[in-house]
Amino acid sequence: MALDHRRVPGPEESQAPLLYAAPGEAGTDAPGREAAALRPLLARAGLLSQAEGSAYVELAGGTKVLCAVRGPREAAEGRGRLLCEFRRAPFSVRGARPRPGPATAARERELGLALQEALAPAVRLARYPRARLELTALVLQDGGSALAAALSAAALALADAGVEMFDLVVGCGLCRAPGPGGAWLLQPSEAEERAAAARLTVALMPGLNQVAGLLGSGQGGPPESWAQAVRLGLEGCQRLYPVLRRSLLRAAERRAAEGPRAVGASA
Amino acid sequence: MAPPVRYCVPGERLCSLEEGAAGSGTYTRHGYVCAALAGCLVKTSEDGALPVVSVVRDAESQLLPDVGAIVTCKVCSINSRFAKVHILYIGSTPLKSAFRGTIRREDIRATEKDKVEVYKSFRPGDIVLAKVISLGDMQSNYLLSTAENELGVVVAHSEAGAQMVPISWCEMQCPRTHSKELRKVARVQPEFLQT
Amino acid sequence: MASVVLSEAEKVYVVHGVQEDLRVDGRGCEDYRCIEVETDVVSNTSGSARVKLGHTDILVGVKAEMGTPKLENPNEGYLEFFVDCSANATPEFEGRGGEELATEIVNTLYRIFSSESTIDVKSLCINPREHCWVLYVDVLLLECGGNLFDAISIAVKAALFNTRIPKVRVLEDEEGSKEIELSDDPYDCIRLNVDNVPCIITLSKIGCRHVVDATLQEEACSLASLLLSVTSRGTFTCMKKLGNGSLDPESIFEMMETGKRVGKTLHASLQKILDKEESLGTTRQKVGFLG
Repeated sequence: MALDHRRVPGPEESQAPLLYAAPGEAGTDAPGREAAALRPLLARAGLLSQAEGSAYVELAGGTKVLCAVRGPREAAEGRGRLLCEFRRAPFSVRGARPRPGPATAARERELGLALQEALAPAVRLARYPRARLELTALVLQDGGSALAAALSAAALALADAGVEMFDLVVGCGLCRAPGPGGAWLLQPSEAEERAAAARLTVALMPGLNQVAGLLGSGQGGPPESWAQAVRLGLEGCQRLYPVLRRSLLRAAERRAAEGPRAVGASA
Repeated sequence: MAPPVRYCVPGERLCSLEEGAAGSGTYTRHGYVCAALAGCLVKTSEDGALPVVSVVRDAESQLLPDVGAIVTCKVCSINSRFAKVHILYIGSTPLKSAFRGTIRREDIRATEKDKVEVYKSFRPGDIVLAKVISLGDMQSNYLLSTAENELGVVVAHSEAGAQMVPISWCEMQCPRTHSKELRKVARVQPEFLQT
Repeated sequence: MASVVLSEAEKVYVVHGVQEDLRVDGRGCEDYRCIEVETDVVSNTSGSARVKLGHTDILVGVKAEMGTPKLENPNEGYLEFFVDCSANATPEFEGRGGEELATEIVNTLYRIFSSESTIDVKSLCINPREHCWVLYVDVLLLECGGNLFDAISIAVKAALFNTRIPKVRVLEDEEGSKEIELSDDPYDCIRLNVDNVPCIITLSKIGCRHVVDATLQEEACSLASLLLSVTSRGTFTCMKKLGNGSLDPESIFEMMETGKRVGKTLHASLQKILDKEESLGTTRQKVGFLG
């Protein structure tokens, strides 16, 4: 029997799914969370064999970012250029798969630009005339603070590729708990980030103590509150730096041990 | 026993400028030598002079053609004004991706520049040693020169397809047909002849 | 973006001037250029504004259209932003040249309007889950003379202030089907409360100091700038570093202080101008594009 395609074979009456959603289901964060607590971070440099440099950063709680650097390649323009792309895997977010479209692309482009503007001060672009460096950050799973993890991973990947840099870049995410006088939390999880009143990502060049990037929005309150957030974020970056540095040193040692021609480091 | 090797990451302070001079893979800032690469720290000291601090990586992957560098390239196309080439090697390091370069007619040889003709110097497919003279501007790409005795064609094939043998600085001969073809031949230095 | 090429000597001149709190056009570091604001300049829109800031010229039109609320916010209307970098502004925008800049501006506008308090989106709802007002905010760049973001945000605020949305009523008959009825009186309309709409203050770092409202020449001397969106009460809704340079942490805190101070003054004078123009009503002499 041929199906009647014109009729919707659903029930006569329907309800919006929102009616069934329990209020405040996801907004409750773990009680007693310390504002300045950092999530354990795992970083590994030099794991892709085909890219000149690569890095993987994982935050405990499920943020996974993979970063690859290609180049330097020939460019049409005279000056050296750093091109950054920020992509999310289709399955990276909780809930429905985001539909690819101009809106998603525009949001990814904004983060790509943020990535580029934060990394540009750290890379010695003057050493790469007539060449371009291509960087791709791929978020495999977004468990909060994805841009911050991408920033750290991108800097590791650039250093792993042997790109001349002034300094590493460390990223740290923050969010402000909802409600008046909400406290700023370091490296929020996805649930905290969704419920937050304001979000902020800071990027620091730890050796030079210079802020490389800053991107935040929301009801962060008066400037004093934002200033406190920036201070907290920078402090978080300083605390993350040793972890990233160690992973990079390990990658360098491994490369030296495997000999000059060996590419790609196995786990 | 060699002392343990020290590794460093970009941005790390290595020493003050009084203790050492900045070598490759480093930069100076506020009177300190800082690392620009992730790699192994090397100090080379010549007697009396300041030790040169540099950071080396084992895989020298990030070379770019620089002014003054000797490059190996392959001729892609020629016309009456210039030859277009692909830069394949810098010194003895292969490039991961080819960079395009141009050898202009007046840069082919040092003397009698006005009498040079491109097709009597290069043919598509030739392997040429050249020196980078400019990074070029917005319109052009790398400008190369072969105006030295040591620079010019090193490998060329005749019309019959055999690899030719140089017989003078401007001629090569095909071993199969014994026909002569014109080229700007390089006098290859012995140190480049290692295989 | 539209850019000028400066020689080293010119750059040194600008930087040294800024150091002495004296800029090329005679302003101090915290002074804006003269801002010209005119609302209700395009009659086919629900609200419009034109802002001239030095050589920067922005035209914003707001059109209210009926649409369906978004699934995640069933009893709210929403705003949509579009930016057109026309080739009038600079020849670089011809074809797809301005697209990158347009995306950046659109993303920034979404960002500063992202927090719920900026505009009362609930008042844009007609009936939950079915109908709401969608405000299409179209930004047109007529001329680029530096400090685009600030000028755009002022123009958007003025245009939203000027926006009049016709009042509608929802009539429901016995069978439950709804009908939307438009009010007969053309002056019967909703106005938006723009008290919490922020303005962008861009602080460009030049040398060791920072300036507001940088001209193109000054932008060429600045490596990094800080974009702050400041509300009339002095709170921030967005902050963002622009440019390829880095900033000292201390200077960021200084910039935030300056941003708050300048932002409050800017809001106060903008509101005064808007109210004054409003009070004149139809007796106001329109300047339009010939002024």
